Amino acid sequence: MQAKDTLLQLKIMKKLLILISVLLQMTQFAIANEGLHVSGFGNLGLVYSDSENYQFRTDISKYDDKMSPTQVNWDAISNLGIHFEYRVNNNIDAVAQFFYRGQDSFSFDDYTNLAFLRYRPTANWEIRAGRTALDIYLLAEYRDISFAYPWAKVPTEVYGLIPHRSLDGIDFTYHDQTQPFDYRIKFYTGHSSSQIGGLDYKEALTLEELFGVSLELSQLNWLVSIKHTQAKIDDNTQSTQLLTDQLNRIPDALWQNRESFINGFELAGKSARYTSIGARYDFDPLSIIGELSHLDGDSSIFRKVNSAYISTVYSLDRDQFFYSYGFTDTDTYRFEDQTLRLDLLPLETAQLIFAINESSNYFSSSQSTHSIGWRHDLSDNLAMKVQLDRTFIDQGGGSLWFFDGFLQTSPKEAVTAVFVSMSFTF
Amino acid sequence: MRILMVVLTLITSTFWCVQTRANSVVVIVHKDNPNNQISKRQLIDLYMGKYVAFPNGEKAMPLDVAAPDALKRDFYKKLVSMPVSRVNSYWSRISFTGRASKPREQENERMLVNYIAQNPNSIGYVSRAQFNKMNSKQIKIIMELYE
Repeated sequence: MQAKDTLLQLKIMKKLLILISVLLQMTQFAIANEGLHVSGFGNLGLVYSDSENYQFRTDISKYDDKMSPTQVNWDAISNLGIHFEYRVNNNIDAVAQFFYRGQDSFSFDDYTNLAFLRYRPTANWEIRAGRTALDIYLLAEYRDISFAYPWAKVPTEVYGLIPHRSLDGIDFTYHDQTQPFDYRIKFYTGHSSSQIGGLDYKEALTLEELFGVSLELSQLNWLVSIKHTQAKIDDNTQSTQLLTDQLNRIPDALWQNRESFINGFELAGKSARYTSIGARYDFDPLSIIGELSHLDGDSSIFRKVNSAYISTVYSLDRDQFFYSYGFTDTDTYRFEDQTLRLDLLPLETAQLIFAINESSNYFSSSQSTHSIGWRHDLSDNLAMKVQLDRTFIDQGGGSLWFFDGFLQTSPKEAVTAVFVSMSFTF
Repeated sequence: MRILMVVLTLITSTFWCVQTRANSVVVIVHKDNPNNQISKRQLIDLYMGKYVAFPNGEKAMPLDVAAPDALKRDFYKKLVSMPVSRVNSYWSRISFTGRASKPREQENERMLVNYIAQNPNSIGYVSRAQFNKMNSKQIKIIMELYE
């Protein structure tokens, strides 16, 4: 076990060294080239949680091969990004961003967060093609850029269930100033891929035929945003496919509704919809930020999830103090189909029912969190943050956390988590 | 006594006005730029990446200045009442998401003025004192920010 850990650490160090050398070479190229602008951002943070059952993760794209025995996690909120902008002329520029947040593979694709060409025919119109940030919720585009917000992390209740970060496609934006507000409307389309995972496993989840619209109305001291995105899930995840294959073996005579059940269960070709309404209002020295989000889909796995948060931030010159409350609520799924003749089937069928319940509750998060915290800007580009979370997890509702066991048996628990981080830009 | 008070008040307010003017930050563009003035709201939109264009709709290229350090602090304090760290925090959610590019930074006021003299679509700021000292014929003031 120890040899395996050492090997893993060596692999991670090797990847980091390769990444740093690539970044250094790119920076040297940038210095030699006047049209190129290089900048970056990062966060170094640790998370401590007092639970022996649950371990913190930012979202469901994170997976792990084991629970940390010390309950202290350095990987959860630490990251590093480097950002390149190349101005071709007054109308065209190119942007590329490479981002490390603990990915365990080293493909160029996995580390490329942004890579697009932008054409601005006028000051009002903008067209971008390539890989852009997925503008699905209010903070989604900059959820990993810790220096951009006062909290140590974005509210997990809303952002924890969204593993997708980028969109491969095209977007069109129109923005203008009117009285009494500015407005910005964006249409985007393409596809998006991500991993979803937990303890000991990870699977690919790709959204195809993704279409979305984002409308923002703003003044300097307020913002209202409404966003809606819909997409088709391209295929079953590996575990869903395995389970579907097993269910298909049950004869029609012993399960009349088999076909319609499988049709409602599997992910392939099913629609997923994301809607959010968010707002921010600043009345110096206070700011209020809040968002309501709704996720649903046509599969029993991708069911209705309502979540929200509200945060009050008190700003002094270099300090920000905040209190936030967030919640997410989903009904727990229980398989109920009287047409399945369990009495005539082998005992192992009960395990399939257990697996259906487990899969269908993957997105069933049910919890609420109170957070208090402090951000202190040590310099113009360096901030220190401390945050204390108290999360109340409902029974079977712990899917936002790493849990060493079956989700449907995850216990009700109140977890305290402490976040300490240094975030920076350069 | 009353006359003395009036004279003292006049002297003090004149001194205060001169001081305020001397401490002001002037917003400058190329002399051929067709825009002769800009409102504070337009300048905020332009420097905060919300609408990066001049009042006539022409695309603009805003510039920041690195030194003296106090000038940038003073400019943003006067413009949006924010410390530079909070302006940087705001910009990190604009620039790192690829929404807009941060104002390009020039090393000092002289380099900024030279850049504007060669790029008619750019806009920048210098202190009133430095503007008076440089006396460049290639630039013009379109706004002045006081306390």
